[in-house]
Amino acid sequence: MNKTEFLESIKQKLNGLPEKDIQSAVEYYEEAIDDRMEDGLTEEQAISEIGTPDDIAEKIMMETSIPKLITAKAKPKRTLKAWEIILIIISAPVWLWLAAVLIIIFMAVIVAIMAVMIAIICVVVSLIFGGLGSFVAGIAQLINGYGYPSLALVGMALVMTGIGLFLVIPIKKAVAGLWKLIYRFIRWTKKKIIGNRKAEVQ
Amino acid sequence: MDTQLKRGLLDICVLAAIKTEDSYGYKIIKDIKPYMTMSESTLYPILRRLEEAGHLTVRSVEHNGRLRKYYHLTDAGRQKLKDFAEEWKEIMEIYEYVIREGNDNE
Repeated sequence: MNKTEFLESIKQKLNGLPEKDIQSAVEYYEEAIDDRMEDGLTEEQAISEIGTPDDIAEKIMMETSIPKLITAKAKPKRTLKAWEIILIIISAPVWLWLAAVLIIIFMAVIVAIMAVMIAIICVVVSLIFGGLGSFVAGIAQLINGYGYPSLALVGMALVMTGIGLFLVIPIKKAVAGLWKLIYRFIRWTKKKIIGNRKAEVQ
Repeated sequence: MDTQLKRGLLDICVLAAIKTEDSYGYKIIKDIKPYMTMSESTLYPILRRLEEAGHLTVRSVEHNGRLRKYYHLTDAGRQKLKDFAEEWKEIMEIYEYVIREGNDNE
């Protein structure tokens, strides 16, 4: 593969992304090849040192935002004939809805994970503060002479606060784990959108 | 190494490579090489990300009849490097604590 073919291949694989993004990538890799050749490498050596167009395109797409990726994938890979354009316009509501549904599902998953996160934080906070409040109330009742029932309240308050404090560390870990889960989910979604390039090569 | 940690370190290395003077893609890779192997395909998205975040700016300079892109560290980028150095001090303290505890238990 020579330089022109190499750059053309990158261009093809980025097809659908905004034109200026493609242009910028091609310019960058052209410079990378030229710089290596100036350093004494042959054209072929320079290209093999830089990597494969597949790898290059995948890394760029993994850094691209999900809405941009979806638009890129939805864009046709070639110039359309007049009847195809008409067909797309007629069927537009269908794929537009489909794309919207996919984005909503994606966001729903993230919101759901965050909701779990907030819920468990709330449980711990309410245990601790509920416990402290009950403790103060129990002591006040004792002072006012309510007798044994208020002792029970103080006891329960201590148990609540205890459980709350006990849960702080596991909850912290759980929240960190859920953040990682969100991060992984975003990467997984991007991988799905980009598609399995290795399968295409074979 | 943890992938997120490595991602962050790569960003810092690139910023450090343009700290003293503006540099270009190939030179950045060569300068970082003794510390970290980085391919062009890894560097390119990082440069884009850092540019979008305002940590560096890009300008084209003519070189041997073609254009070469030079990357310049902004004040925000410089601040990021400083923040990293500060954070690292804390991490090193924790590291020393961890190592010391390990020896005590043996």
